[in-house]
Amino acid sequence: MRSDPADPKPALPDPRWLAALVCLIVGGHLATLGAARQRYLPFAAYRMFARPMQITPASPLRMIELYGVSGTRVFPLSAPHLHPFDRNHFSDSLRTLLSRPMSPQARAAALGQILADRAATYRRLQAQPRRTDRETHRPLQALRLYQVSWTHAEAMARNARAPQERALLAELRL
Amino acid sequence: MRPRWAQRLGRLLWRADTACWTLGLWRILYFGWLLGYALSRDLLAWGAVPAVLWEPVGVFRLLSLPPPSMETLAPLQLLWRIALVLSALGLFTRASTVVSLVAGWYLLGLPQSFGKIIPTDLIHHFVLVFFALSRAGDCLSLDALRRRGRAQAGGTTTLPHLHTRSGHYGWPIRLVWVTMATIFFCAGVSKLQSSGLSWIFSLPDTFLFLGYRYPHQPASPLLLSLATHPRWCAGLGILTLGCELGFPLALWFRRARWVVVPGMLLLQLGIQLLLHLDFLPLIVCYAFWLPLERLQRPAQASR
Repeated sequence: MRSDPADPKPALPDPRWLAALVCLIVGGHLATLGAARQRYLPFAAYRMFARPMQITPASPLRMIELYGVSGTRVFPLSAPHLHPFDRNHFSDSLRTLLSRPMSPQARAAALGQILADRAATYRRLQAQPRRTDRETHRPLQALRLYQVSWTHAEAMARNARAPQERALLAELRL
Repeated sequence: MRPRWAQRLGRLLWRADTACWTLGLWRILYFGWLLGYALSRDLLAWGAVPAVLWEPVGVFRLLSLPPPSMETLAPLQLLWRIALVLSALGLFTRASTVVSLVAGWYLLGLPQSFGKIIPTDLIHHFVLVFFALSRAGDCLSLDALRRRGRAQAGGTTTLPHLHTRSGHYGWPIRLVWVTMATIFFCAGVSKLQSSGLSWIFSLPDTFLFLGYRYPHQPASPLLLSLATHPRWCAGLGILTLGCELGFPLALWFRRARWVVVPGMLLLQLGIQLLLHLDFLPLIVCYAFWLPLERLQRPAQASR
């Protein structure tokens, strides 16, 4: 398509500030490539599974998960209990918290706050009409935070729901 | 005399003469999609998350912003949604795209300040800047209708019309291309930096690992079956690295554009389907590679 010569063609944008924008975008991303932690929003290093990920006794997979206690059963709670987090974000968020230097009392208080918040979510779910799965609405006696870990992976991730180690971090009776 | 690379960069960015209507159409499509995204997300819930989990990053850290509260998030979310509607309609376009940018930076950045960076959302921080700085309201907008009405009443006709061509209407989309190329290139370099070419052969372990770290248990059986086929995984690894490192070629070479852009799109659609990781916010930006002006030519020829 050709432009009509009678058109009021706007003057071209100043190339200098466009070049500056390009330098900022490219430079910002390249600069965060070597960064150990991704803290330079919106310039993330976009690692996208860059490191080989393996589960071995030397490099176990550790996650922090929310569990519910119902009678004698202790089981990981599903996504509605973690909202607005998903399972990975919840675990990473708690790991970041626990990586901060703090006294055991401060740590217990922080985990207590998180469990109290999850208890509020649990009560909200209990009050809602049962639209989701039965697991979500199962009456609970306690909420627990565990650090779970896997030291070896099985084909087809058959042991994904059975971590090899489970360490209790905090508990809240409901 | 400017060096040749600078001349080529200039042709790529600010001398990319594009018709006014294309940027108007991109504005409608992009802000329309972002509005749907904003409506589908419960961003208010972040206001109720305990403040102990607040770990500000980027501008949040720079400005020492406090953790959000429901009381501040509710009006901000409403303001953002209104600004997105106005931006899509092209009403008070400059002001509405700037409000969309500021509120969007805050609301989209919020989940990232709770201990985990979600890379797929970050591109919108850039796209919103480009639209806020551009002349996206010149065509296919209520602003254009208002201006035309005023100009006709005043007897002047110095307004851009749908087919006016200028670098003004091309650079925002070209900068989206540059941003995507940078993101993917950095992702490729990051893989080589971390583990070299052995990354290609590590995919079966990675897929199995993701079976454990899956956001929603149980993991996709297709993903786990793929982990048992090392050759297929190596093929995928080569394809991924090739597309990521080769993506910048799409900026300059049309033929490369027809290979790496669809290739990368298919890979990310695969990740979306197999891992259920939310790649949609990034996937939607592939639409900016559609040659809209070419699509119009056959329609004109048939008239």
